[in-house]
Amino acid sequence: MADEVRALVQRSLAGDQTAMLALVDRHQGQVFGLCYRMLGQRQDAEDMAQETFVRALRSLKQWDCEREFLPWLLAIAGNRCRTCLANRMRRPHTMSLIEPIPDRQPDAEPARHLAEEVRRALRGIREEYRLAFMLFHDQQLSYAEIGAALDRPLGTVKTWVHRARRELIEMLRKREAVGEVSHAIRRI
Amino acid sequence: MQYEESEHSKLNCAAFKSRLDSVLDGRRPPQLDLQLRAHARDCRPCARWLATQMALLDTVQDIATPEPRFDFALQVVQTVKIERQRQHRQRLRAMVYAAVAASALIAVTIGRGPDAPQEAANLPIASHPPKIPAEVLQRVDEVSQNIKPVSGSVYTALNAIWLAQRLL
Repeated sequence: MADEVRALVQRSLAGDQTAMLALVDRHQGQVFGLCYRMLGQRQDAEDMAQETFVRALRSLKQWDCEREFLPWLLAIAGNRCRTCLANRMRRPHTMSLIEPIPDRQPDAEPARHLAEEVRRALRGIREEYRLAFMLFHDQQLSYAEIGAALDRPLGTVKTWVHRARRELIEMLRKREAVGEVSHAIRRI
Repeated sequence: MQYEESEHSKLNCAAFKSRLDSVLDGRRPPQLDLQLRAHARDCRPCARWLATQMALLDTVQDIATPEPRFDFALQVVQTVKIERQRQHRQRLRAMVYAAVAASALIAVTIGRGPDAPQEAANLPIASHPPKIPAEVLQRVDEVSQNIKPVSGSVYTALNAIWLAQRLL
């Protein structure tokens, strides 16, 4: 699989548009997923995912072919998302464009409700924590890969993920998002 | 399957959370860790913590993410293609401007002629090439090294004006 990606990169570097198309097609789900979870808004996520790929294709020569391609790509996506969030902070009126998440509804279907609560909680933690958390738990990257992608020491990345988990749990507990604890405890 | 069998598996709450972190770091299911289980059985807040943690991680992986639009990849490749074409055009334009500026410079320099004595003027051309000031040559080098795609044409034009002013 990694060899296939390398071959696609080589062909893309030679200007083969079919290879570029295949490269984007192969990774668009993961990149868009990360952008969507970082930004919580479809339009921004699509814009940032597109910017990610345009930048990646523009600087393919800079990719170290000894390393995995996906972490490198996700690092670009993470940086684009952070820039987008910083721009949002500078233009507070655009915050209203974020897709609204309904307030806690006790009658809502539990899994959907919990998913909404988790999305809300994710938005409430620091960007670095969220990015590291999503890369580790959602994209299943290793700490070493995340560290290399974000250009941070492994210990820092670990701390970010740990803090993200703890802050998320605190938020979910405060909002009593996990209702039937006794059921979960029985699993333990 | 169970692991981490230990007779002295008593944890306090802080140690419970640290252990939970390291179990999750190793991508192992916490419910299979005997020490965590033992503590969670006796400590309701930690049991709640563990349950919330498990629910969180289950949910993170199950959260539905919308798909990007169907022509997303095509749009990206189109954007890259347009960008490359634009850059190519800009580079080409910069090169044309640079060539024009260089031609103008050479024409002006030759037209002005060397400040040489009459006898030197009678010598064959190859033996007395036009004197181009070192400062000008250095500037030409700088121009050729610093042509940027975006501002290439403006930059080259400004340099041509600068050279003309210096020479006339």
